[in-house]
Amino acid sequence: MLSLTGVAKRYPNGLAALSGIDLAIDPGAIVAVVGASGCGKSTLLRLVAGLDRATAGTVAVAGHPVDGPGEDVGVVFQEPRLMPWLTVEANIRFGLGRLPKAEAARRAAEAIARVGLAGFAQAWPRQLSGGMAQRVAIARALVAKPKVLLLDEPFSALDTFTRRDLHQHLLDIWGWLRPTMMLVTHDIDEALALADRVVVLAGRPGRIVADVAVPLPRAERAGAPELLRLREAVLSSLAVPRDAAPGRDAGAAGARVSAIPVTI
Amino acid sequence: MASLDSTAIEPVRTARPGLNAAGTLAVGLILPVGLALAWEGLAALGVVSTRLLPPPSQILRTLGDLAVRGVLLDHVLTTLGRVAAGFLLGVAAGTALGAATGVWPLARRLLDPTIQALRSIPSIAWVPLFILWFGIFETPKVMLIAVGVFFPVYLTLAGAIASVDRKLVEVGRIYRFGTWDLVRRILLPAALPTYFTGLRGGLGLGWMFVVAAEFMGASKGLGYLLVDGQMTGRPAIILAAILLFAVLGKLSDLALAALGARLVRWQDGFRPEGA
Repeated sequence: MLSLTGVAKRYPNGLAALSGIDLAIDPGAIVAVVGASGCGKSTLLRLVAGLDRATAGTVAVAGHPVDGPGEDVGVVFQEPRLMPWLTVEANIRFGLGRLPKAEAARRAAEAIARVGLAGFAQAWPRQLSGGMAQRVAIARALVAKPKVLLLDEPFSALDTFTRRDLHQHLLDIWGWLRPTMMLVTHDIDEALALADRVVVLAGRPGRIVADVAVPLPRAERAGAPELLRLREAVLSSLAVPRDAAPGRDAGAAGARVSAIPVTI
Repeated sequence: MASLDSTAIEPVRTARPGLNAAGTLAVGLILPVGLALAWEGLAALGVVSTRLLPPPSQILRTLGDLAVRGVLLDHVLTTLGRVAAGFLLGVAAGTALGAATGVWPLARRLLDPTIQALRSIPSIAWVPLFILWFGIFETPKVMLIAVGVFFPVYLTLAGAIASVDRKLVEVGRIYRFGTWDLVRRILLPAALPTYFTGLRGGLGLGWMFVVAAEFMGASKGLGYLLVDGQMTGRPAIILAAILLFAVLGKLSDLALAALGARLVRWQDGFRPEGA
């Protein structure tokens, strides 16, 4: 569904963000892309979204080369990015092209219900909590039923409980539409809880240093010994010292990762 | 800009907790009514000269006389009409050019330096030219007011559009908005609160410039009353016209602020209008 071949990205200022990226993602798969800040993982997502262009290689969605934002792709950013002057419902309808009014209203109501915000259709964004606002953003990205859903650290600004709640919402939605999902995150536990595959980016320019399959059913993952082993595999590919104490600064490359406790 | 100050403290949108609209109005009236009473008292006691500074009662009597003679409404409507026409013209031009330079970098590079240069000309300096071009009747007056209104509207709108959150614009890109949709659905709504500040600043300048316009030769209007009062040595007429300017300026600003508050009721938190 998604394929990147020999993709490189160099910004006009000379900064090389990505190099030699080859990645293929099956339809309906959930793939997490993890890596330290500045490793180019958000750049990778922006290339797939059509917001930036690769300087080398090809990016294709459903077999078609990406040359700009496409209607098959929904995007959820780190911030909800809701239009503050629109109600929840109007924000979600933002994601729909030109549709008959009744059809648009029906689709919006369905999406609102799917993210558990029935009753908030006429609320203003400023009245929502961070988690609710991000759910609206997810509904906006999904209302057009895209084949691909790209998520750029969508839960990083949320507290632990809200984050877990949103993980569940996301999985429910995935069960409903089965979009191919690419989730960029710096939270390894989040990646291991949600994804079928964890792709690890590292270095400057960023390249893929590990591609770890997560074969466990999601319901059986919490606390599974197998998962801890996978976690170690991901961490070691990031070159974080294995004895790095939680909360201690392990240097720029792994600072954020090492601070995350091993609970899921 | 001095005229912007007059719009700066206007809590139209939200009365303070525990104070309803009538209460807010009453509190706002304490100072002017108190001053008027003190003034009246001092005049009655002979402390101030009523010849040069007539007391409020005499100003009101003057207004009453003008009203009874049927000329008051005529003067007021004439001035209101000029302000309205000039305001609409200035807003239309300021909005069109402000939006253009805000949205298209090329338009900004092309137009903005010239407009900024024109802005540094004191607007009154246009008066002789406008009279030569447009004659001495309504056109030059309306044009002068429009010039005064144009700049704050243009500047605030262009600035507001330029500072719209790039992240919201990117959402528009995700949904493949063309320029028109981007302007209509993201840039203009996002710029609206600041735009209304510009509109109110523009209206304030409109009231300022209508006086200048009516000084340059008018046979009707509140500015004419000012000149007339000076020529005939009747300070009560001058003060009556000044009072009317205060009332009309305040009411028109209130109306604009109320409209703005309605349109931006989505805005977060408490912020004084015009801040």
